[in-house]
Amino acid sequence: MKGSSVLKMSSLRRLWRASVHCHRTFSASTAIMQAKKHTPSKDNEENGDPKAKPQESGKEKLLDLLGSMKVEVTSKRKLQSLKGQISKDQKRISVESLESATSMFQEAASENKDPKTVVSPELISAVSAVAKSMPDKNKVESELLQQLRKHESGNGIQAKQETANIVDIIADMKIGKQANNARFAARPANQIHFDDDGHGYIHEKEKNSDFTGVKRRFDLFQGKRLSIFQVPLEIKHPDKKEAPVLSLWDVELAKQIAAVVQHVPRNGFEEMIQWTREGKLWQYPIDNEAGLEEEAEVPFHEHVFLENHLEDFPKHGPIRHFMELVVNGLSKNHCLTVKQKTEHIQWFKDYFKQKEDILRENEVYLN
Amino acid sequence: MPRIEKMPVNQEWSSVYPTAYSFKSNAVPLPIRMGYPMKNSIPAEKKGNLELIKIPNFLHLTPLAVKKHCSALKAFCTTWPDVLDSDSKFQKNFPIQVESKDFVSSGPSLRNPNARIVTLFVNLKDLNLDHHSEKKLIKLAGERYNPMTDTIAITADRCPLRRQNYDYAMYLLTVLYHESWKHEIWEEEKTKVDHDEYIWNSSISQTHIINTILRMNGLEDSPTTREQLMNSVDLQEFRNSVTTLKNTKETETSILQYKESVKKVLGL
Repeated sequence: MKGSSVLKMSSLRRLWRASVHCHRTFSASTAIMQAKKHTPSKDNEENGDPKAKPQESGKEKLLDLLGSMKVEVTSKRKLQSLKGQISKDQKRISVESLESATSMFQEAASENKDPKTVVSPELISAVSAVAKSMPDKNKVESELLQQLRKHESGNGIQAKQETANIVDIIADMKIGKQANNARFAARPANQIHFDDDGHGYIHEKEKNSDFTGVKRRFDLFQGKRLSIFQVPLEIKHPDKKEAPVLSLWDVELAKQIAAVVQHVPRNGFEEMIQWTREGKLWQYPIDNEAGLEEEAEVPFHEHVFLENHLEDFPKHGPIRHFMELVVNGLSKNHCLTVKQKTEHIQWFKDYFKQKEDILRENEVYLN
Repeated sequence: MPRIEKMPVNQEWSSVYPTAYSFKSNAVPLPIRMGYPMKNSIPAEKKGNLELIKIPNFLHLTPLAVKKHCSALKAFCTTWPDVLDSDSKFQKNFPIQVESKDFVSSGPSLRNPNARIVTLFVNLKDLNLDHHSEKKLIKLAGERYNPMTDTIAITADRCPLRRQNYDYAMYLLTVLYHESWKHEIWEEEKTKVDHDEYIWNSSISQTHIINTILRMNGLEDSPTTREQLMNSVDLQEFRNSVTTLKNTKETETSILQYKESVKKVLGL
């Protein structure tokens, strides 16, 4: 049955590349997934262990997963069957191919749990299969095996956790659908899929005939979390009644409603009316004092007659003369508010109070 | 298909250009050309012509459109009262004229400080003044009085807003009026030198002419004769002519008049 995925040699290559890509994305350190180069390298020291501690629980989760998982023993056989097949190189790295790769590695990882330096035979066969797809066969194979052994000998917790890391990731990625490959293979892959109605994704119809026998093992959003990624707060506390975060759709809907309710101006006059209401257009006939309502409530005598503020000053003498001049000047000032004028006078009062000693000395300060 | 080709001849132009808008070449059915002509060529056509778009146009203000505007605005207007059909009536009923300016400019701001200035014009004839108060008012007003038109112009610009300045100007007018009616104590100390115009009644001229007449006619110097003389027409005339000469500018007529009056008084 072609429903189950057929691992082609090219797909293996893709797996390889995909795994590399995955490594770059998740910055995990494994023997197989290497940074920068396509060929496997020995340095996984550079790949630190940022994920070590948070993944501790992940390891347990993984174990549970694996326990519940149905290990595909068939993969090895598939690998061997693919040795003869050489298909055209397809550049596209699809998620499905990733998935099938991960199944392989998952299996490998599950084997990795027991701390043996001996690498399992299945692993070896897998390695050989992969190596066959690569140009430098022997070297690749040897390096792969080396890495595997290193893993199994392990640096104790670190190694284990490293494997746990990558295995978590793999497990997370893999949804156990090798069947998808067949679906994509059914359609020539160089046809571009359009999403016609602009949803941004392609709604693919399920070919029920293909999947009648297959039961989904994992539902996407159920099952235990592997805590690879930090869960956003909203998901963690769904019962908390916080202010609803408006999605873009909500905003768009609100805009649509507003547009319907508002009447688009039919002509220039209506546009002018709308703008006047919004405040974009001045009110005609032009009032140069529009907007100064607060100032308008102040009567004129508060601006002009400021002598009553001179009560605290001496009645005679140079200070009085001076303050009268000040008051006169202020009364003619049309730029200041009453408050500012009183503040001016207050300032003078404070100033003269400060200099009281000097003034007394000069016999100026008469009360 | 551009709009111009769909336009009927008897369309309403005011619906094509209801408000001020830049030139739309496919909405204005006129074959206009604008621009400096290239060598051996004509000015550029209107299609896509920036020169036509840049300039302000009045396509929205055709006479018909203006008429429509006026008829629409009429609903918001009140008619001019029929009673006020002459200037004099207007002046009589509304003696105080208030002037202020509004400023419109294209710019980001609506404000103009010159808009706050308010000027009041009052004719002194419309104010209830007697001789003394009138003189006093003119003295108090000073520069604000215009003797040519006999008006007082009070300008107020001390306050930031027009409303406040108007109130202040009205206040000033009221104060002027009431102050001019008051008689201060020290006003009684006015001497002859302080007078701003010539009064004949207790002047040297009066004493001189009366003495002359008395001596001329050989009359007795008694109050009754003086009174008689005072009431005589000639002397009144003499008095008027002298006052005119002294108070107003010398003119030929006034001098001739004086000559006549002197002749009459002295019986020449």
